[in-house]
Amino acid sequence: MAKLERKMQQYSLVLTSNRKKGWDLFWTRFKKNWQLHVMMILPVVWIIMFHYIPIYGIQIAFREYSNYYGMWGSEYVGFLKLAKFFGNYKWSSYVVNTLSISLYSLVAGFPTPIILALIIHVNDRKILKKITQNVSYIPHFISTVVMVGILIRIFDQYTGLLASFNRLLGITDRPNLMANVDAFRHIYVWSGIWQGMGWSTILYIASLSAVSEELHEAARIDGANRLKRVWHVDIPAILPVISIQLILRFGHIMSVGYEKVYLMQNSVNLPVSEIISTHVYKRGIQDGDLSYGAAVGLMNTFINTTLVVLVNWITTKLTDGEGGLF
Amino acid sequence: MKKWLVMLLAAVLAALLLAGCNGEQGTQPVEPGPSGNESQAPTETQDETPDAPVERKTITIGICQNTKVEDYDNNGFTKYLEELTGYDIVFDYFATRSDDAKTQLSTRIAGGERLPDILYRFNIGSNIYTEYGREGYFEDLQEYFYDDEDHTIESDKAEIFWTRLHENFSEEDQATALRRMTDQEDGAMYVLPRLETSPVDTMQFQPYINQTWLDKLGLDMPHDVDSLYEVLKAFRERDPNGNGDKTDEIPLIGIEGGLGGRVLEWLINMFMYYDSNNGWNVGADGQIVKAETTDTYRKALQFINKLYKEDLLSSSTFNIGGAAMQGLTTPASGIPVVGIFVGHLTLHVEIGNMTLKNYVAMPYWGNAIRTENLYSMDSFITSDCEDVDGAFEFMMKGYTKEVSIRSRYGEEGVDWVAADPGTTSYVGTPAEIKVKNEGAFAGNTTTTWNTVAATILIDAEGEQVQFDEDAMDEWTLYKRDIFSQLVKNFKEQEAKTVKISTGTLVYTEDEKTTTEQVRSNCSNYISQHKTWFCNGTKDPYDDATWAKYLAELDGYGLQTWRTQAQLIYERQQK
Repeated sequence: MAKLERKMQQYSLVLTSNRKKGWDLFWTRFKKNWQLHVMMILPVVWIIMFHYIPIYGIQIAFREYSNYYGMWGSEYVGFLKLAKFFGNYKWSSYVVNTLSISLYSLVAGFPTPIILALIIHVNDRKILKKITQNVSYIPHFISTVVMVGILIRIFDQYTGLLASFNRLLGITDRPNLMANVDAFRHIYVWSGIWQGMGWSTILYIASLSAVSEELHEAARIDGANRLKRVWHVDIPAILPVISIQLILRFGHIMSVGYEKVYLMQNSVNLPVSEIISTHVYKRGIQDGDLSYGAAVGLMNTFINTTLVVLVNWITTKLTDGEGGLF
Repeated sequence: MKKWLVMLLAAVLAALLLAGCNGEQGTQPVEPGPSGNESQAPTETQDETPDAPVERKTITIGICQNTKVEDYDNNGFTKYLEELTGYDIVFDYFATRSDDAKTQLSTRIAGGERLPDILYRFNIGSNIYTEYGREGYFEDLQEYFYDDEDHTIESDKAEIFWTRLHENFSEEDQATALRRMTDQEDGAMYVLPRLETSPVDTMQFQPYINQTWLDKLGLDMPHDVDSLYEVLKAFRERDPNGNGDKTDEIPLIGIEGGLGGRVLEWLINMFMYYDSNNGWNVGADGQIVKAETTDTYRKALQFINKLYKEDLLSSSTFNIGGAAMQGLTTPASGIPVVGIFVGHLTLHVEIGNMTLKNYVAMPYWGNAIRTENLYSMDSFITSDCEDVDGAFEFMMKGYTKEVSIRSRYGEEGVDWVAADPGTTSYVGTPAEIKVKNEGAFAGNTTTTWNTVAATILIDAEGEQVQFDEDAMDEWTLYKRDIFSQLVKNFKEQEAKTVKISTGTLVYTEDEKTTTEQVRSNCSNYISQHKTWFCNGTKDPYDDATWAKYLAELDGYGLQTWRTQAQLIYERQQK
């Protein structure tokens, strides 16, 4: 009887909630969970301040912006800045370089933390697990400048670690990998994977730890070995997280950060290392042509947004509406 | 309890966020004004003591912080300038590297932050400073240099500058200097130049050769392209350092670009006159031609390509840094692995390392060229400066001979003394001073701002010095001997060099706009292909590749640029 009463009460609450609309509903919920809403204030303010208010500044992409004349006083030039970008004889190589670095990073770098997370997860030895996690997290805290410094020291043609190692093995060949067009992308991508792989496992390890032990027990009873349990239990359990991560990664496909590439650049590897963001940094920030930087940045954002929508649509279709982000 | 904890945490986070939004920069010594263009300084310091005898003015100097200068505020040169000018100097530090400093300046302007009164030795390039000048961020100084609009009557306000310019520079150099200082279209002058005649700093390439290796292998000093090749080949194949490893020697290396480190240009000049700063050579008929499109240039590239392929020219030339270079030329082991290196000696060897004694200055052949005497167009009075008259006067005092010497060599009586009359300097010219302590410009210093951040000066005195042998260490004296020989070699060859470049072409705003894209595309294309032809990414021996290179350059509008450059050249000749 008491059970039935409780059910009735819950049903009544739902009915009351359904009757409340708009502000009433919001206010009821707010009062109930006001602590959560207070915590939300800061992120919301942050998003408004740094992501919505600056949208006002997009107009400089269509003006010959001068701080002296201000946002509205600067001359309107339409798509001139974008035309300037496409007038550069190397614009296509900037796009190709950006895409190749980005896609290479995605293909090589996306599965790696998943694999590492699975390896850590299936390991039963707690101490080994913790050591592996900590050791793989540490490179994440190395700054980009130091990271590139390490790379230069390792690959120095004459005094680098690699050269010394080669000498030890009696190899006389002294490749100058930092000034090698073919090596640039590999060094960039794999050093990035080494640096970020451990840190990226956090999300996957957290998801894996939430997988019900009962599923594993059931699989064991059915005769599944460790590999089969990973394949049939663990991976399906983290698949939603993987698909969301993949969609988000596609949102940055045209946005390779300029810092590391810029620091690794030299006159020899420039044909493959000049990407959109380094070009924009040089022209937009160093040379003070902010409108040019804004125009190319806007184009980049447009392409990124399109890709996110496209990938989300494909994912939704492939997973029958389960895997999409929105 | 939990609610209060949440509220407390939220309040702390909010406070942190607001603190993060505070626009004041910890490193800025002066409070930003309400907008980037409202004048506020220099300001008179508010002395709180009622009976302060003298009110001193303050001037803010934006300077790229040099790591060798230990303390700008208490530096001897700062104190000297303060006493000389009557201003208290407040520093507004920018990044050491000029590219980073340029970025800082750009973002500060874009953010509407107040600029220092003076930007001191700020290498941002003529296109950018002209743009900042036009937009009103830099003061137009033409009325300080001239008393009339036609720029024919020199102003007394710049008397020190005019006197020093006329005394120390040829008429041609004076004309070029003024052309670079003046915007052709509206006559505006946004820049205060640093003019320098010091050969050591203006030589575009400075080669040094390992004499120990030459002696050991019984080789003569190379004197032409063929003998250079033979020497490099011997360095490669005959284990000159004698450690049994024939692969550890580096026959030829340099830092491509930067101060005196233009290896490729040095090699190309063995074949033809080539000044990459200008790029246009003038033919006998007065027609200009892009040096990088000639057959002789191609031959030079073929030679470099051959050196590269045979590992005689190190591929590290294109990406090595200063510290790594020092580790090769003057290693701690004392056994150098480099045969020939090209670059400014002070930057490419470790100070005090006696391994340097293996090297001597290498003679020139072909063309010996230097950067124009009109050295740097890189100081500005900003529109945030309230007392432009005072700032200009401050800058003018830097043009005197006394300040020139003081900025480079330090304190009189401590770092240097007047040279004995009738004695000669280490480069053979009449000596002005005898240097007792080279640390003022070569090492960490507390008495100068280092030559990199020196005051505005006409540096005719740069090399007219003697070295006090009793006060100097062995390394410094050996370096002096190398420089002495180098300058002698250079001057001999410079006298034989027929300068055929157009010199700096100054474009009007219209001309700049018309060909901006063409010039950018062609310059980048040429620069990129120079590297490619040298390192074999593209084959300079292949006729079809070369023809395609020329055709693509034409496709990017080289002929349009040439026509315009020809007109500008002819205009400047008049």
